[in-house]
Amino acid sequence: MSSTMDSHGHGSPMGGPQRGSHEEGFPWSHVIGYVLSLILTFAALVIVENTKLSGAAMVTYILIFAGLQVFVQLFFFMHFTETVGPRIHIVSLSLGLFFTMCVILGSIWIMSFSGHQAY
Amino acid sequence: MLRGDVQPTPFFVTGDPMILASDVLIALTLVGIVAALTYFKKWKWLWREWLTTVDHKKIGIMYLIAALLMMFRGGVDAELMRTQLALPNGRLLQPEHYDQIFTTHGTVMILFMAMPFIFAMMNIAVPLQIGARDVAFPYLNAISFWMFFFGAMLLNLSFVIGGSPDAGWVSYPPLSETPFSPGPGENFYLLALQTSGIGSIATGINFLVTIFKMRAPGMTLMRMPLFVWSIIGTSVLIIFAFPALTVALALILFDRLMGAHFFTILQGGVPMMYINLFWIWGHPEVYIVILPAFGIFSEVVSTFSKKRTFGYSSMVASIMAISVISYLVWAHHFFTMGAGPGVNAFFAIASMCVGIPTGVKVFNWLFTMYQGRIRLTTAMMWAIGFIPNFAIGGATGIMLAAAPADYQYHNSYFLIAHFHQVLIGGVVYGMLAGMYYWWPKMFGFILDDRLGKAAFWLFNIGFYVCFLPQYQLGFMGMTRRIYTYPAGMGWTTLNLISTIGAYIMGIGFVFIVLDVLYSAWRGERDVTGDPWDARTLEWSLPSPAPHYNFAKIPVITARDAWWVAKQENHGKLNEPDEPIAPIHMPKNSGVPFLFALAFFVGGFGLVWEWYWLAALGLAGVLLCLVTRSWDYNTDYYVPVEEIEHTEMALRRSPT
Ligand code: HEM
Ligand SMILES: [Cu+2]
Repeated sequence: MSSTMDSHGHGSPMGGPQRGSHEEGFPWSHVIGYVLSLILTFAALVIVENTKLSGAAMVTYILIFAGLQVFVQLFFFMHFTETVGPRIHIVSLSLGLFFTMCVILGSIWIMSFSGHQAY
Repeated sequence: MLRGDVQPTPFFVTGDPMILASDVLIALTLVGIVAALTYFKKWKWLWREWLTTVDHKKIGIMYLIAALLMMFRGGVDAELMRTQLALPNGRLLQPEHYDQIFTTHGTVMILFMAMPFIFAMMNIAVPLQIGARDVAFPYLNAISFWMFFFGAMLLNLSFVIGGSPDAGWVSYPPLSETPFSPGPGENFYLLALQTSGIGSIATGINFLVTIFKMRAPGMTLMRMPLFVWSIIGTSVLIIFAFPALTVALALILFDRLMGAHFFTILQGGVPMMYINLFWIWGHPEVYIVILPAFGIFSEVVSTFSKKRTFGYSSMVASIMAISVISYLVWAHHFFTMGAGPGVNAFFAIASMCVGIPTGVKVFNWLFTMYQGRIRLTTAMMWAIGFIPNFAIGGATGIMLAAAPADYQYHNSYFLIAHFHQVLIGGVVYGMLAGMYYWWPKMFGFILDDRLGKAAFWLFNIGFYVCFLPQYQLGFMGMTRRIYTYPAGMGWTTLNLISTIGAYIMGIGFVFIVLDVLYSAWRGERDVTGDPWDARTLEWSLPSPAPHYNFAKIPVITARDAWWVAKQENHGKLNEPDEPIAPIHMPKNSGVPFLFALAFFVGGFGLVWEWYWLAALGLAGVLLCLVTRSWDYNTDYYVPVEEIEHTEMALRRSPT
């Protein structure tokens, strides 16, 4: 990628207002995304507070809600569908996915204290 | 510490004569600054040139000043602690006071010294090195700086107002929860870190986008200077690691302010989860600060050996490998928590793997120097001094990473010696190398070499005298975070030696300050823009560079573009064969400053649980957001005449 920032001529350091190709008008998709995030977050809270599921089932539900939340973020806020420069997008997305998986699976592994006795 | 009787916390910290004396000093300094600004009629200048600037070079300078001030503050803390420990049964500090000091020392040094220092270096160098006119989001860059600045102010304020936090820089629950740390001190820590953390995340995003989107034509990824590569690594780590800290701190804040129980065992909370979250950020954090230092060493070593860096692609691969692996080792900070042998074995092996790419880098620096024409400038001294330091730090790191052995070393002075070896010997040496190297580019004069070398030798010798005995003290059973020890443990001599070393380092720091003052007064001016006969683009510009950096964006055809231009093209970069065109630049804005100030006010309100003040701060934040969203007058064009005039004045013919 021999990139320049020459979207409008003289190598401006600005992502100024004239650059955005965005539609004018009310940002509905942001509002919807925000509401969906809130719903998914509160759903996790309700699972923990108001149900008597077993630990494993609870974790499963929370993980499902979290997974859905990732898609909400990607589609409603992170312009997932506007593909420009696909290579760097793919690299950064897979890196993000990798790090996220490491943190989640690693944390579950660590916090399950499967050694039982104190080593 | 558990304070039995809960009394309302006094607003001003009183009682301790040392704090009282500092109160007076701070007040006098403030009065002095205000008086000086008024007398010299500099208020307007301060606002127009600095507080509202969006120029990456000026923001870099402000980060640098802040980092040096914080280094002084953290350094004074360190000297106080070492004085207390010099002899058994020390009486200089009360136990609570000692706890507050080591907590602030650690927090200040990592978050308010090391972080702004790397931000200073990347702001100053990255856009110039890739041939850009500013960062991708200059306005956001200003926000980052002011968020950092007001976060740092919030923490420093706790020293005179309300009382400092004292639960350690890691702030583990349950100690950091309300029953054990009542009062506002811990809140100061949490909100200060949250505020500056927002700025850090924004900086990570900003620089990643800058590097991917703003390179000059022809500057392919594999033609970038290694410092720029190291900033890619750092930015990636910032983006993925800082959110974990944000979450960890927010959860404690919920516990403290709203009666949640994320980390209180009696109510079903799990304090170990905080430790896990903290180090998901904490270990990448140490690489966030060391990678830019690695980048600086690459620039400095190659410039002062007059050779291109040996093994460029293996350097790039190492940086990227370190960024990924360093994300997979966090549990080595709590082997003793008891997560089980499987966990410990995995994280021990992953930790040892980080040593491999790091070793590759060290060998590449050595091979770069091999048969080079070495010039021992002060910057180069810091770079060379780093190598033995890091060899020892890496070796002790591997020792700590051996999980069963860590049960002996953990939380002993051996650990203290290890991380100071890598953080001082790595990060601080790297940043000082960068400061001496880029100083002429920032200020237009060169820092005096003799004073600089005196500072280096004092600091370097003082460092070994201070920290080598601490490895031994660790083996002898001295644990960290103790405020005193009895005679007859056999620790006295080594502690005394260590304290003497700390004083020598302190004198070294004074020499650096003297060097800056002396050189500002009499130092050699940098009239060529390229005082080191260096290799990368920033040295093709006059020192200091004009605010738009490049009148024409050069076309890059090789790595080390400026060196190639000097060798093959009489020191002229390839510039497009067109007349100078107007340059599109961002306008200054006071909003970032006010925005961060509003965060500060809101944070201060939350610290004291004065919710009306917190609401006021939040309203300020929203107001700033709205103001900016409807502001369409954010940029302008620098006219051709002005560019030509500036270029003429800077002795470069505007062809
Ligand atoms: C070969 C590379 C390294 C290895 C294998 C390594 C390993 C370790 C281990 C296992 C610990 C935990 C010891 C304990 O708590 O008992 C530790 C602590 C620490 N290391 Fe390293 N390390 C390495 C490099 C670094 C670097 C480059 C830095 C910083 C620039 C660093 C900074 C720290 C800090 C700050 C701590 C202590 C944190 C605390 O408990 O307050 N380390 N290291
Ligand atoms: Cu670590």
